[in-house]
Amino acid sequence: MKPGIAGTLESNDAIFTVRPASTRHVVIHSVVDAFYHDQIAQVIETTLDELAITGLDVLCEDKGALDYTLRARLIAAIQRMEA
Amino acid sequence: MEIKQALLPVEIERVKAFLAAVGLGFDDRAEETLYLEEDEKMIGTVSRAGSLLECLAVDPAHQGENLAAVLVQAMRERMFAAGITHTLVFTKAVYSPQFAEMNFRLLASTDKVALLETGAGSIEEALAGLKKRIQGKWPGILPPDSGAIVVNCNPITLGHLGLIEYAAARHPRLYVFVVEENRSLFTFEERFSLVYLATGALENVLVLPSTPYIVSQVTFPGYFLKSMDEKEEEHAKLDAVLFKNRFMSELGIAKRYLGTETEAFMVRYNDILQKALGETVEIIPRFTQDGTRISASVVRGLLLEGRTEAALSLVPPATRAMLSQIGKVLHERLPR
Repeated sequence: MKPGIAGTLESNDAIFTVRPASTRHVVIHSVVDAFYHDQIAQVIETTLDELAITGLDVLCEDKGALDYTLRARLIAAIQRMEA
Repeated sequence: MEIKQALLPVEIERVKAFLAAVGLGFDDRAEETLYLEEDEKMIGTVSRAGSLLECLAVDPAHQGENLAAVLVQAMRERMFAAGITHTLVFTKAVYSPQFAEMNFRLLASTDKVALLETGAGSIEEALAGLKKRIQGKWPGILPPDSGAIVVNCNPITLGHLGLIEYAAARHPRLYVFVVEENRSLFTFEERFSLVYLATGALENVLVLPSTPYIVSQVTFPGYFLKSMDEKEEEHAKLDAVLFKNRFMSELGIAKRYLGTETEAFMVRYNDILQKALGETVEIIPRFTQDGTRISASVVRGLLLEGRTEAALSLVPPATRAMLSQIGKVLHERLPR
């Protein structure tokens, strides 16, 4: 299965790379890590809960994206992975 | 400003000229090249070979406009489309901070060059994967006195086998890393399988994929340091640093073996590796058959000429069946 990718490296955006996995494994690289690491992690967890995903390898390269952007990019990446 | 793909020969020539003007060389093995154009003038370019980004350059007059990030982003998107989610970059050490800004992690550096990575996958994952393979064969903690050889084996010959047997006799375990880069006549899968077959009888030998992190001559993007000497020097030093700091310590490798080379560039490469790694490197003379050095290029040549018998006499018996099969279709792979 190909990894799913969505997003860009533009400021205020994020790139999500997702791969199938047996458990949830989330890695976040953010330009605002010190301030928002936990919040970004929370948005990802909540989105995965909503989609009832129990296992996924998630790489998030964040350039200061707001919550709705993170959600949108993550969902798009997941959809591309399944397709 | 537009981003364009350099597809036509005339475009590639423009890229070469642009790179030359900033002191870089073009890698003819690059799979894809993009460039930025403004008012019909080239102001930036980037290429890639597999998952390795290279030949990144921005017109000095346009520096500070974040164009490097634009180029890197565009190339990463092309890579994503090709299913490549891991990106490595080999660059002048002074550019490390710029790449760090783009989320690249430093793997190793000398004072002149640096190797960085980004995206899915990391050296830690790769090493963990290798450990798993090793423990699959030999459960338990990895001992600290194993030997290692890095080979391309295109295809494996009696010469290679001699080198492997020599090293295997001197260590409780020998790890044979087959370079994963597919820049050779034989694919990685074929080269790996042939090595696996050839070493089957050697109980203490384990054949492993090289991972993208063994920066050997094959993966060397010999483009950005002008003189032959500088190029080899820095690249080999980086190879040594990375191998020593990560592979040797994590996998318990006490010594790396190299075969002697004849091509000047490769000889220099070996020398530098030896200087950087000291006693932890041993260079062994290539094995000969009837006085002539056995080399993979000779075997390839014979196979392509249809002289299969002669070719097979230079390779390990265990690989002859598979090799003669592949030999039948080899000429189809040559560029026309």
